[in-house]
Amino acid sequence: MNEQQTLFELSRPGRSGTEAPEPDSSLPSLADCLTEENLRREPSGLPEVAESSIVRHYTRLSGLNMSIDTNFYPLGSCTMKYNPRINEVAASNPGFSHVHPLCEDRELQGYLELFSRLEEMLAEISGLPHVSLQPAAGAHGELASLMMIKARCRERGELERDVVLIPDSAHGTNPSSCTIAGFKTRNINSGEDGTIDLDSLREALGPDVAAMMITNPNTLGIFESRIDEISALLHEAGALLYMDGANMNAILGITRPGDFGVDVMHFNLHKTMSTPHGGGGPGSGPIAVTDELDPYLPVPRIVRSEGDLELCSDRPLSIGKVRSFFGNSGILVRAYAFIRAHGPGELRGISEHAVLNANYIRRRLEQAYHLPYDTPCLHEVVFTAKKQKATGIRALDIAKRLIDLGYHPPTIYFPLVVHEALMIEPTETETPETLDRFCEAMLQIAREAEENPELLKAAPVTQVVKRLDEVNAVKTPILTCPCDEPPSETEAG
Amino acid sequence: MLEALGLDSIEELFRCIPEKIRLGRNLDLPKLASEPEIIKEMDSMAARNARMDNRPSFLGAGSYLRFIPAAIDSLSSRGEFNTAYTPYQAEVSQGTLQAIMEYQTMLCQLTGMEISNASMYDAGTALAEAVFMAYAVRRKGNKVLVSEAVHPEYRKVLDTYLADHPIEAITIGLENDLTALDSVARSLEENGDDVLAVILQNPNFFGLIEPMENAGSLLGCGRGEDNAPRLDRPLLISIVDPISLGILKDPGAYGADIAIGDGQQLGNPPNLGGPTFGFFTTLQEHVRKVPGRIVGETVDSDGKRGYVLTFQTREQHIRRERATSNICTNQGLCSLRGAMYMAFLGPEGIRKVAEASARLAHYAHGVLTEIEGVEATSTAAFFQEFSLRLPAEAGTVYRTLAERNIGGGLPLGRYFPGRENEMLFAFTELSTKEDIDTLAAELGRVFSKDMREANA
Repeated sequence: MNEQQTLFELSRPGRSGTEAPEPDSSLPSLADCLTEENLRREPSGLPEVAESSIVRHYTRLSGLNMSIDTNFYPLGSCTMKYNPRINEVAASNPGFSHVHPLCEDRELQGYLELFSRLEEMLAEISGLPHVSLQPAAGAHGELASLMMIKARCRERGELERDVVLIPDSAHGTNPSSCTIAGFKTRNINSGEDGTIDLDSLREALGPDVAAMMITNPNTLGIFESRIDEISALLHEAGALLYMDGANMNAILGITRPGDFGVDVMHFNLHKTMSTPHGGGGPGSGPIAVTDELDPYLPVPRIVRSEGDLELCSDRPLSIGKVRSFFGNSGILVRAYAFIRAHGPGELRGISEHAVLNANYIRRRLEQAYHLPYDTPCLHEVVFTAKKQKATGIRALDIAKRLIDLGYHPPTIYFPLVVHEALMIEPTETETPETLDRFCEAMLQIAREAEENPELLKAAPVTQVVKRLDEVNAVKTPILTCPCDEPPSETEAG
Repeated sequence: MLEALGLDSIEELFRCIPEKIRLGRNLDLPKLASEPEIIKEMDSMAARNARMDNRPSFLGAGSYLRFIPAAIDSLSSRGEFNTAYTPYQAEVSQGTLQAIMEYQTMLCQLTGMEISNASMYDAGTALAEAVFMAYAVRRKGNKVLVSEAVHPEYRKVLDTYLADHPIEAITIGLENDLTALDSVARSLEENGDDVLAVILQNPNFFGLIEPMENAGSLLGCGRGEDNAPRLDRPLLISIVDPISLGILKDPGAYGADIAIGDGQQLGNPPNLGGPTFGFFTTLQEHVRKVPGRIVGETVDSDGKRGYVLTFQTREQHIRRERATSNICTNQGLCSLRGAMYMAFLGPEGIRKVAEASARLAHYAHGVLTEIEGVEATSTAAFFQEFSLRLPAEAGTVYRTLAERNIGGGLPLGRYFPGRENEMLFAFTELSTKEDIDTLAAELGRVFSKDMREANA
């Protein structure tokens, strides 16, 4: 495969990718509008490329990606499931897409109705009665939640509570969100079964603890089966329990965070509710809370007044706005469509199949790959490359070899508590045939690791590039494309 | 599959969840709807929202309806872009990575800045992250001066983020609706080295062109004699409208240290304010303090060019509690549309769009200020937006216009108490002379009637 030229290499003076609307000649001239001192002296250095060349450029670039639409994508902790097209059709209605955020509330009744229903649905799914749809991503939901916890400490005169407990298996966003919300973090070790060690928790609890952040099931795919003891310990100590909702795909309709003592959680609609990941966003990270935390939720809130819905920002204890305007509305529309396409039984079915699929993979691969924990798993399974170490093979090599066999690699080197981790999350939308083929590929790789380890170390060889030199990328940073190379003689595109 | 697992029922897979915390009933949610039912239900909700594209509409204030080349929808909706995840596995993500690299480059070309990240959630959160970055880079001072002409939504987000930080935001007032630079100078004198950054928006919230070069000289912007970024003065954080850069001076030209803004106008519909993307650009030397993802060029094991996520040690998944930002996902698909927009429009297209918007706005300013009782609130130069003082409460005028199927401008009282009679009107290349004449005629009718009634 040839490397794709950059837009700047495709650029030729005077070309254009579109005809922008020409201003009416009877309008005041630019010189009558603005004086020289305000105007830029030279045009910007954007590339000049013909429309057909740009279309080919991006079409070719798209072909260099693996995606859900093209490949099985068992990226643990990311819940890469099929994204139904109906969600895209629903969101492309100009009655949603072409709506201005500063219209009056009575001009937004359709949106507010949808948001209000979605809030109710997420409240029912989480078992927590109040929901804010504002946060733009999971990490943003975490941050908003921690700001609320901080605001509650301030309101209660408990600012000495400045520590948040974080299990060692947590996502990296958890501790970094804490720092930004003005908390210190204290680590909680996992026990031998991969769940939170209660002794470590008891030891860490004190009058300085504001909250604990858990993920349940945790990043090993293991359910914290003593979660009611954990929440009781925290609440007795005057601290709150926060749940990272990244793994909600395992427990829809089976158990609810609000029912096992969680005070505040965030959803990842781009995971659980199948809004597309978009190559890294936009996501959406709504938060759900108890009655006690309701007053601290970000503004605006949706309230009903004489039949109409209104946006209300008059909430004195609120942490304020976390994002301009309303949130990632277009993503909320897609998530609503997804939930509507599933009744209560079908939502539960999502988790049942996600868990069944993960356990099937676990069973088929547990001889060939080392399982660091034999505790039953839910929607994802974590293996390691320990058995392959003898021939110098690392998790990275297994991941890269999978690429040559047509699969997106699992998450590797996470969670940090597992050495050489390979974290596989198949989701509910894969067929048994796909799972079988994937398992066969993994078994083939395990054999190759013994018989022909060089094959793994050289992988991938089927893509546009082989392994990339990340160290060099930092040592000699090139963060923009070269823009001023003379055009070559051969016509591009 | 159950058989392969030696299980009788799926229920057995959930034995690790204690019985007492099981839901034990069905979720109380509506029953499954088929595709046609969903479309019908959602279309009926969509029909209850006011659209910008089926009536003359003059709302702007940070969100705009613009021409979007048709190819953008068809290219950005390709599953290979839309259903991929963050490009951690570089070899199978070269499409996304190269597109981000080109996005970073085009934003630098447009803004005159040196480096760009892969995008933020929106301009409001980009502003908060810019202040945190300035704090991390400068390591001195805990006060930021924020112009009152910065978008009030961005300011509110900044205030939320600063609530738990030792950084204090000081508001700089207005003169003629422009940032009062003598107040900035006074505040710099009073606070000395405690001022870590000054935040200005250009064009400002009222659509006016700020004296950015004067602000730059006041702060001593630009690199030092050794060509290194100067940290012995407050940093200039500039919030810019990317379309305006088609004709207006770019932040690189006046020495901004960080330039951010909202990218909605670059190829994304208004979407009720989101999803959109925030852009974030700065100087090369600050790369290790930049929030969010950055793509860089490197070579593969055969020496062939390729792209990777780089400087990842800045980021939360490696640095955890020591990271300066918690951002993980960016707004990939929206920034991809932004890149496509810049590519299709090119330098000439963006210039035309900016010029058409400015010329239509100036035509409108002439026509609207001729209406009896209507007057401009500022004499300063503007780009595509301006506010007018009306002879009636602007919210009432907005509703009257809506009855006549016109989307009015923004009643300023919504953000600025005391300015209830003022309305902020926005124009883009999609506005037409006819629409503007209709607006003027309707306003003329409304006010002459109001006047008559008032005089009766």
